[in-house]
Amino acid sequence: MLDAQMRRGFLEICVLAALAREDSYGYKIVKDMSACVSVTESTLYPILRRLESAGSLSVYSVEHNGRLRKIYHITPKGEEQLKDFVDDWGEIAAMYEFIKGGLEHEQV
Amino acid sequence: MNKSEFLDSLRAGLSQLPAAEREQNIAYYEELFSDMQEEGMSEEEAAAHLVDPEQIAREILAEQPLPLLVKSRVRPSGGWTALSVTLIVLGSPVWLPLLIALAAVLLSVLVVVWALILSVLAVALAAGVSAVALVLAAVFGYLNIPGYLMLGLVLICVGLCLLTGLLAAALCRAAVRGGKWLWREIKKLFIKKER
Repeated sequence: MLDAQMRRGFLEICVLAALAREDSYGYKIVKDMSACVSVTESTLYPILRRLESAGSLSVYSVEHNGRLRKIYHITPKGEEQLKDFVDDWGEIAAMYEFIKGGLEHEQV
Repeated sequence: MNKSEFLDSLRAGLSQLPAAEREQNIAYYEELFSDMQEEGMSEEEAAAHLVDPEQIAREILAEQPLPLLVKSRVRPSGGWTALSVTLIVLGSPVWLPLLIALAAVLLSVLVVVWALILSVLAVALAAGVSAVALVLAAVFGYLNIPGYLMLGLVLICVGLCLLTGLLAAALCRAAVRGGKWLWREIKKLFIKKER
């Protein structure tokens, strides 16, 4: 199980990645993300709010079946964050290899 | 549980939040219900999928900043009337020292814990420096003691350095974890219990 803080950070990036594909709404984001990580509707909402107040995504409403639906849209800042994460991946992957190597060494 | 029961329970659980904040949360769950129903779920199925509204409310409250929780928790039941403000001001010789004492106790516990960690670290540092000093002294011939005694002393110093270093690291981790736990518990004090 990932450390809560770490998991939260990863989830934020996953949400941004889901929104980079297309603008989306709460329930659909959860469904799209379930392909890679299980996240509940109630964990998603605080993440959306945090990303919104950080300016990484914006919200607008569209009419759908006679009601308003909140649609989330990734901002340039959010795209930047996503790009930074992918760029930093080399470093994270190197750490992972180092950690894994340490574990294997211990088990031998 | 149907949709309105779920939303009512959530609303009750979030009664501490400012109205606008609360309604934003409610609107999100309302929308989820609509989306799930469009997929052919019944209200009951949707509510069961979202799990327990009281639990959700507690999690939302735990994410709120402490000042907001305190402000909403200490609001007198009749609002801030002249009478309640007067009573609070008149009572300040009683509650103010208590509050200060409590804060002082918390602060002193914090200082003691970190002083302890610092002192263990100092032992580690002293042992490490002694080991190096012993080796240097032996190399430059300042110490006229048998080699085996020398080796023993150096090993003791190195061992002590490693042991206390590890102890300090473990204490440090425990203190950080303990601090986080304490902060969460303090927050919980200001989250209203369900009726």
